[in-house]
Amino acid sequence: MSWDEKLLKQAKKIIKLYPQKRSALGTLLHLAQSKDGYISDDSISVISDLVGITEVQVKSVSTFYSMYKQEPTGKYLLSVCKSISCEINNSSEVINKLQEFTGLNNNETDEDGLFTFEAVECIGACGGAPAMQVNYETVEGLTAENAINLCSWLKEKQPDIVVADDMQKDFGGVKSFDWAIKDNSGATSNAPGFQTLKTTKAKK
Amino acid sequence: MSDKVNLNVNGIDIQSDSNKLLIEACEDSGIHIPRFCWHKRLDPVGMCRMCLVEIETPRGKMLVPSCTTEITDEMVVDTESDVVKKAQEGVLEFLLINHPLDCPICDKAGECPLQDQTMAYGPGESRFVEEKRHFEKPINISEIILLDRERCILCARCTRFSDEISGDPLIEFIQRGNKTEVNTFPNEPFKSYFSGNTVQICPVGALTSTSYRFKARPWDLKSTRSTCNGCTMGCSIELNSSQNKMLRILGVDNDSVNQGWLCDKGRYNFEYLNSEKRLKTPQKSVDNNFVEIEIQDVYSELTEIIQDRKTKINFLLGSNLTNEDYVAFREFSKSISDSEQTFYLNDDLLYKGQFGQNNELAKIDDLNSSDAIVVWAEDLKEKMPVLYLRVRQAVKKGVKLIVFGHTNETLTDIADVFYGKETVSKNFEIIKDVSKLNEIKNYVVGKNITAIIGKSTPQQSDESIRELSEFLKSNSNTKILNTYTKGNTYGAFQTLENIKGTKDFVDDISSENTDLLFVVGADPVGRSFYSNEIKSILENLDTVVSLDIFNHETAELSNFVIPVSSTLGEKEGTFTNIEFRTSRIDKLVPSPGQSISDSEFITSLMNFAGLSNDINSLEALNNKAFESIENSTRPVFDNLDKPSNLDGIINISDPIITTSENSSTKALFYTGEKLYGDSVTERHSESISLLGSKKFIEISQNIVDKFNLTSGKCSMVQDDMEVTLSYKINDNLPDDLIYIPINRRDLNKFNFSKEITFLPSRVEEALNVN
Ligand code: SF4
Ligand code: SF4
Ligand code: FES
Ligand code: FES
Repeated sequence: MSWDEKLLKQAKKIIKLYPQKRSALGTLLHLAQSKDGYISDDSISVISDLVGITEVQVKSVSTFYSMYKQEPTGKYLLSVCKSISCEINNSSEVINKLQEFTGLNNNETDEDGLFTFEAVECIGACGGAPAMQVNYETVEGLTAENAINLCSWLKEKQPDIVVADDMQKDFGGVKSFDWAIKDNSGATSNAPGFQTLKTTKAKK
Repeated sequence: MSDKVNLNVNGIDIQSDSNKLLIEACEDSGIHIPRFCWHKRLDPVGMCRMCLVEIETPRGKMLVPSCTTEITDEMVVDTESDVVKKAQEGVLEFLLINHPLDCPICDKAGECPLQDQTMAYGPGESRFVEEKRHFEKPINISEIILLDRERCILCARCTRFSDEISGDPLIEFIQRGNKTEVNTFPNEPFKSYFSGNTVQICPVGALTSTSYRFKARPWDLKSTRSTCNGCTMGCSIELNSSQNKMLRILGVDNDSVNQGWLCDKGRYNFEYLNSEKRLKTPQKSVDNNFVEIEIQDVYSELTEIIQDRKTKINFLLGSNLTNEDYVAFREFSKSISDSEQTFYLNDDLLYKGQFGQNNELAKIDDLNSSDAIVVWAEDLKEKMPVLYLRVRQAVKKGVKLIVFGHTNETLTDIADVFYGKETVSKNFEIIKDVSKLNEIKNYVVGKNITAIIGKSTPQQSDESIRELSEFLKSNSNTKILNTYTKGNTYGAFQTLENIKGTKDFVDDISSENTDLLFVVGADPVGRSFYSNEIKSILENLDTVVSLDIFNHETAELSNFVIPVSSTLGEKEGTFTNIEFRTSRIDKLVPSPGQSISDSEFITSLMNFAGLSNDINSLEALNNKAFESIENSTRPVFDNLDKPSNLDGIINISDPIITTSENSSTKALFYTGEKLYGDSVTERHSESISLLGSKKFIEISQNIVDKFNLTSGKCSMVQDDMEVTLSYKINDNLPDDLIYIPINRRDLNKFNFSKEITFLPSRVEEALNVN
């Protein structure tokens, strides 16, 4: 079907990591997302064959979790936290301004396929609130202004890899805690960066 | 295991088996707790919270869902406290938030748990003023099932059923939170042999069937309990009618048989009852045309024939007669002649079976208590769908399943061991030394076995089946479930003697030994492995009398066609299932026109002809049927109608089957039947006809190569016959074997003991040329 040899090989490797085939489902969905930017029905059919459950069962899981996208997203998935700590620290301004800048409502993608905007629940960076993520790479201690600068930069440079440390340095503020060692590997798509999935790569 | 536990519910001390859920323990003691998602045949999920009750805990009173709470000793429970009532009101208020409340146009209204429990436990008024969520009103999730997602309360009964019970989870929850809906995968409809069960257990009107949609209100329904005669499982059913029309069949929970479930064929193959095409008047063939005739004239013409002492009479009986009907034919034959009468059943697979003293026969419940189940029979899911469910249930409990032969395809998914083409040859013989098979050594030898054993296809030799049974019997503690699949076959076994099948009919019957043939509820010309042979026999007989509910190919060859009542819903009597369990067949609707029951026809004929008889009432027939069975378990009406016997009474019998030995060891084809076909009743049941009886064959890869087939379609050619159909490659088939489902018109007209040629479809050829 629609997965090439390479991807299928990767999938089979992932399946071997689990005691039961079906336990690999979540990871395989991430893999599917890294391929298309969303979970296509085609990928669902492939995964259903691979793990031996029905297509609708795969669909059920993939639509339950909001990190599995049901539609193609833009090159950069902007996820701004709207939960309590960030809200107290004025995330609503970040949200409003970013929406203004991108012209997007919640869960919308622009016509050029560059940005998808979403306001999300806590992303675990409360200490550095308000926070947001670009393709799940986190930036903390934001201001509305910096958030817009970040997006302008993305729009202008359109980097293929986005790296949390870099963005934090250029656009972030107070961090929740020191992130220890420097990491120059970042996300290559709108799937979270996992080594096993090859969705992360070091920036040269 | 069965430790007793004491608990106090609402101030009353009750006792219950431990390991029960609180909701069950209360139910057993007559304390009803409202519920939506809990169903006693499904695993608990605690989805709906309707069953909240208060229990006392070390930290004070606590609300818990009684459907997921196991009882413990000394548990103190309150199911009616103010807190519980408030919780129930709250749950219902939440459930109703997004419920459309379109009861006036909902099929479920009047028998709807949501309506009923809102009345009993709900808040009096709605506080909800916002907009409810909307979905497209019903969508077809299959040809026969509709889903109205607005009405769904997300109890997961339907999804659990399809996952846990039927094992074909084609519906699931999609999305989450308040967007959650039940749905199928795009373009993967809910194609399940058991889909109707979800409609029955849906606690609201979210799942409905096209068959019953907008047909009636529950309070207008008449209903009665009966037995499905669709196969030898004999599932317990409830018939529903309104204004003398049969409208619906529901499953009844008979613990030892169907546990509430039905297959879709049993559930929906009743619609033919209301067909305009039903035979209504007796007919006689005059110069190859049928003309209507008075029933009295039929009697008098037949009387003349019968009274001629030289007349030789034979019977070809279908499987859809009641035990009482069979007895009527038996008594009729006795009254005309002293010599032993042979009764031919319309069954291509009839053979002697493993009965008698040397065989311990199994009950269906033995499946659950054995160590392993060994199957070699017709494909269970296609032929006895609810028996398949029971096998599946046993397998889930840990019973090992060992399946022989390519004929049991649908079991391969759940089988622990599948002995396919390497073990069972193209000629349906086990070609390995069974005693040397490792899994047999591990799972079978010395264990408690239930063997589901029957003939898979007409060309299989009797010996091959016997060998396997003998092996099992001598190496393990084996109970045998002899598997004949058609309707009331076991009723015929219990009531008739000298029983033979269609094969012997073809070998035995000719105008030499038969002047008058009664064909009853059977269309072998339209649907049998031996169609052609039977057709030429019938054409040569002097007088053929057909009793049936529709005209069909066999009736067309008859001299008289008598319209009769259907065993389903139109007559009273009894039915005997695969474990010799006899239960009630009941009547709910009148039969059309001048139809009478088979037994009424025969007794009237006997009276007309002045033949002495003592079977002038149904009760008399019913008594006669079971004369030899001792009083306490005799399945006569009085006994069966006792509340404790509604599930039927088992009397294991030793049938007198006198088929000649089939020693053929050469099969050119593998003919079988799929659940849905195009028999005369199926054609006239809209739901069933929608489910398709497409013509196809299954072939092994080497045949694809041999005949150079590429397009997915081919033509089957023999003499001047040609049928174009699609083929599927089936890797389970041994080389050179072709599976042909012969419950499709045209397909059974081929001669399967002769070569058939398969050509790449001519249609495709024409396309390729262009
Ligand atoms: S469709 Fe019916 S059975 Fe299925 S989840 Fe909804 S309410 Fe329950
Ligand atoms: S399994 Fe057989 S008896 Fe049961 S509902 Fe289906 S056809 Fe009727
Ligand atoms: S509340 Fe925003 S990161 Fe936790
Ligand atoms: S019946 Fe207990 S939660 Fe639904």
